[in-house]
Formats: sequence, structure tokens, C-alpha cells
Amino acid sequence: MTLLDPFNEPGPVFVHPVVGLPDSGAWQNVRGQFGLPTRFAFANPGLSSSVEYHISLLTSFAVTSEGENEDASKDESIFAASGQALGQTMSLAPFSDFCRLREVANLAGSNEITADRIFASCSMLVPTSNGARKERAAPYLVTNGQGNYLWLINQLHHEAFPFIVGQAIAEATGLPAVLAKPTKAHVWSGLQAFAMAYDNTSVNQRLPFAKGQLIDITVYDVRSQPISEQKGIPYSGSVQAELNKHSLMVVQPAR
Amino acid sequence: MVYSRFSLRAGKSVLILISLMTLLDLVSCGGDDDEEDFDEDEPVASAPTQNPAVQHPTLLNPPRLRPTQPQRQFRPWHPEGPLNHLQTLPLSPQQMETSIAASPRPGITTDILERIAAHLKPDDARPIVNIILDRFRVPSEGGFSADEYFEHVSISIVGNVGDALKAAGYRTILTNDSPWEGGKSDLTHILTPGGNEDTEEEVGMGRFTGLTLKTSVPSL
Repeated sequence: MTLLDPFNEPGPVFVHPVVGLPDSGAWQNVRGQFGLPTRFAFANPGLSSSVEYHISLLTSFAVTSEGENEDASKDESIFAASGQALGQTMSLAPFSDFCRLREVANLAGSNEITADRIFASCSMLVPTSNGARKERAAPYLVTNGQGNYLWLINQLHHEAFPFIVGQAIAEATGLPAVLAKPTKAHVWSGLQAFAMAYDNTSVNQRLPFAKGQLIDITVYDVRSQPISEQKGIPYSGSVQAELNKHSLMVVQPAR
Repeated sequence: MVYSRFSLRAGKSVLILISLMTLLDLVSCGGDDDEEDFDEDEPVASAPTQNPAVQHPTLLNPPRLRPTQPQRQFRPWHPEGPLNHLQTLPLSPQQMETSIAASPRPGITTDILERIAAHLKPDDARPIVNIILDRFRVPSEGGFSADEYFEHVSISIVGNVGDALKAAGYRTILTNDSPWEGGKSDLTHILTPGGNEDTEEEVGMGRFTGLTLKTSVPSL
């Protein structure tokens, strides 16, 4: 557990299981550190017809009564299209236009984790015994209160995931979050910052410039043509812009 | 056995698909939530997440440009020509060549290189985040080896994680199974297969996997 020991690893540590959170072996230590029960109470009736195989795992892909993968046409996201987390509305269901997506999460009940250990929560679409799905509030990211975080889901929409990660880093480091709001853009932050929009969106970045430092902001359209160029403007504490789909914004110190 | 089979298939399917997504992320940083409006001619650029096994030397010691350096004159790029004029750009020539060549739109090379050349990379000392890919470990009869897992390098998830951390202002360094030993990292993100909870009939997949980092925790 060295990496989860604040004396050995002072920086924030994120633990991110891809196909679920086990309850065996040293995983119990991990669960314990994050204030999770030794096992989640929820038993997903959609995993098979046999009760003994029901665990807290939620998946976007359906399985047969024998526990085999169902046809891809029966896939269904475990997330609503959008929801509110950390006080902001954002897209939740991951998007893929080239293959069907696989989502995995462990559903923890609201009474299984104390509120101070839940960093971010929102909703999940949870199978019920009659085959329907019901929206339930669920923790997405939990904390041990010492700057370490554990994901209970494997992926989220690109708008939600970077925002939640950024907010967690801000909490752990005590520094303002770079992304002030969720954005539908690929963002690289630093003294030279980029935001490439994959949809019409707004961007609000807090960048490592001193207030008043002169910066250049250039926006290109999808054809790489500059459509906006502001040179030598004083940095005010954040850079905000409205970007059209497929446009690119570059921010850097004044040239 | 039923659940075990399901769990392994589930894990394998997830890993295959997320590796495909990772691959896309590595060759294109453009996403698109609207399939109908997708423009296959849109410019693409490489994401610099690195595997240390093939790590480019400039990753850890990125070239630095003097902010006062005069604007360089753009020269047309040729696939077989010298790429010296690109050596101080944020993306390596190899990354750019692959990425730019992926687009079928005529003239995109010129457009992108002109766009990039218009921006000099300033001194940048961003903090470092170490993304650790904790490899998949299952008994051989499980049908999914560590090498396969690594081949399917886990992640749309890696793309999403890398993007999130770069959005937060970090430089990413990707390592396998163990923490980065090349310096101090300011943040650590461990991507582990994890697995399932045990059932009454079968042990969960995670009994054999996860958090087996050499310098962090003993094997599960």
C-alpha cells in the first residue's frame, strides 16, 4: 500500500479499476482505506439467472441467464445521457462512434459509504428484478480524505471525467481547478494551452499566468484558418471562450 | 464456472474495446459526439502519452524554445525530407508524420504545419503525473495473458485519463506495473484491471489481478 501511504507518496493518488472492484485479498485493504464495506450490498439481478452470481457489478452489456454475453444490440449504457455532479450539469454516458462501448461500475448504496468519503456522485441506471432499469444515485469517485481517490466506475463521458478529476486534484492540492466548468473539448493546460472542441462548447480555464501577464489567444476553425486572434491582452485569472465544434484555441504568453 | 466465464469475457471485451479507443486517442485528439456531422477531413494531432519502452528522449527533457526566438519561417513538409524545422515543436516529427498522413484531405499537411509553426512552445515546467498500467494477471487457463492485456493496453480509459490529467496541467508519463523511477512525480494514477467480487460459486477475477505493483503492494 506504499502508493496509498501519504508519508511515502505525498502527491494525490488515483486508483482506477477497469473491470470492477474485487473484494478479495489485498483489495480489502484498499476498500478499508476508502471507507468502503468489505462487500457492497447490491446484487445485480441482470448478471445471470443464478442468485449466487449476483454481485454489485453493473455493466453496459447484457448477459444471458447463463452468464454469457448477449448480442451487442442489447447493450445499454449504465449512465443517463447527462446528469449533475459536483454542482455542474455534464454529459455522463461515454460516447463512441466506432465500436460499442463497455462500461463497468460497482454500485454502492448511499448508506454504505459516509458522505465525507464520497467525492463525486451522480446517477446510474440499475437493473431491477423485473428486467427494468431504475435510475439511482451512486458514488462515482470516493476519497480516503488524505488526497487519494478510488473510482467505482471505469469510464465516463469525456466532458464529465476530466472535470471530476480536475476537481479532485484541486481538493487534494489546495490549488484552484484548471477547468472551472465541464467542457466538450480536449484540453491541454500549461503555459501554452490548447482546447480542441468536439462540439459547440464553452471553455473556462485557469492557467498558470500571473494576473496582468500579457497573453495571446488564437482560435482556428476546422480548416486551420484563424478566426480570432487577440494579442498581448492581460491575463485576468482565467481564459473563457465560446468554441464552435472542431475549432481550436491556443493560449500562450504574448509573442 | 458460469460467472467466471462471464467475468473473463467481460473483462476481455472491455479491454479490447478500450484499447481500440486508446488507439484512436493516440492518433487523433478529436472527438465527436455527433456522428452525422463528423467530418473525416478534420485535422488530427497526436496525443503524447508515452510508453516508457518506446519513450522518446524528448519526453523527459522536452526541447525548450526561447520566448524571444524570432518567428521561424515555415517550410513545406515532405515525407522523406529533413524535418529539422520541426524539432523544436511540441510534437515529435514521427508523431506528426503519422498523424498528418492519416488524413485524406489534400493540403492538410500545409494547413496543420502552418498552424503549429505559428506558435512557439514556451518554457514549460508542468508537474508530472505517472500513469501506471497495472497489468492483468490471471492463471493461464483463464485464457487471457498479461501480454494480451498489455497489448490491449487498457483504455479509452487511458485516453480519457491522459486527457483529464493534461487538462489539469500535468505532463503524463506512462509506466507499466511499477512507478516511474526517472524522477519525482507529482501525482499518480493507477489503472488496474481490478475485477469482480467473489460469488458463492467462484472467486472473482480480481483475486488474481490488480495492484501488484512491484514497489507498492505485495501480490494479491
